[in-house]
Amino acid sequence: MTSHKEFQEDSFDNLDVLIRVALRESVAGAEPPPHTLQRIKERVWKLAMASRPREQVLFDRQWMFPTVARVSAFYLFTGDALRIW
Amino acid sequence: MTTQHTDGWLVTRVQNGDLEALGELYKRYKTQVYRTALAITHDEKTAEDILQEAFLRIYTYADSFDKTRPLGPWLYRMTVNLAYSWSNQAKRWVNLFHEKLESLKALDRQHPEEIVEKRGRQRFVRKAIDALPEPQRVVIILHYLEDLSVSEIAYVVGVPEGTVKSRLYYARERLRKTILEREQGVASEVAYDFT
Repeated sequence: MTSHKEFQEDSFDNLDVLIRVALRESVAGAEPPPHTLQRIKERVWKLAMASRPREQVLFDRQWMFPTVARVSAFYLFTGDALRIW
Repeated sequence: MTTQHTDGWLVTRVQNGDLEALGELYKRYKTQVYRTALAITHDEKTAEDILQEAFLRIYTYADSFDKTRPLGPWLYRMTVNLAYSWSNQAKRWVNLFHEKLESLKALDRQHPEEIVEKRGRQRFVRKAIDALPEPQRVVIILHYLEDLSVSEIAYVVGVPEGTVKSRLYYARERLRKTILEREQGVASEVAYDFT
């Protein structure tokens, strides 16, 4: 059996080691969940979109989105018409 | 062969909306940030929130970040600040108080065999670390878990190096005292069993 004195000396000589090991054991193998990076990317993307210049936002609203919608509608309509014909 | 880009280069890319660069930085630092947050808060969900917030701040604070320096210390600083904010919320203080109370009670409930056993002792030391005042606990975590130097800790915590040294000193003394008291108690209990 380890005597009391030996036990104390062992503890104090190794106090740094005890602290280090106890802390490392407590978080050993701890990794963030796999979806975390995706969440961060989504949040950064949202921030980037929110901080676009006002002109860019207006351009998108007034020109880009309606234009894409019109072109898509045109091709859908043409495709349908050709198929019917 | 893949090129190892500097943190500064990657931060500039992130600033321009490059999410791949953000992924690269995440790969480099996620474990340190998560581990530190977890060691301070003891809560996996909170540690994940802190990790997300710290990386989000790379994007929001990219302008003010010195790109000639590595990102590590800056991220540690963010992590510790976020962990402080988390524990400063009144509700959490109450929880922490109860947890600490429980851990102190648990110290008294431990059996001598468990203390002598290696794992039991580690658990005991861990609980003693948890019972330290938060400023001391944070420097202990950064020094012993993350191997940061005194000057790095001073930068991360935002205090002079002398303060870090004294916090380390008092934390170690407190731990030493706690362990000594416990082991003396165990030794007398063991001696009592044999008489």
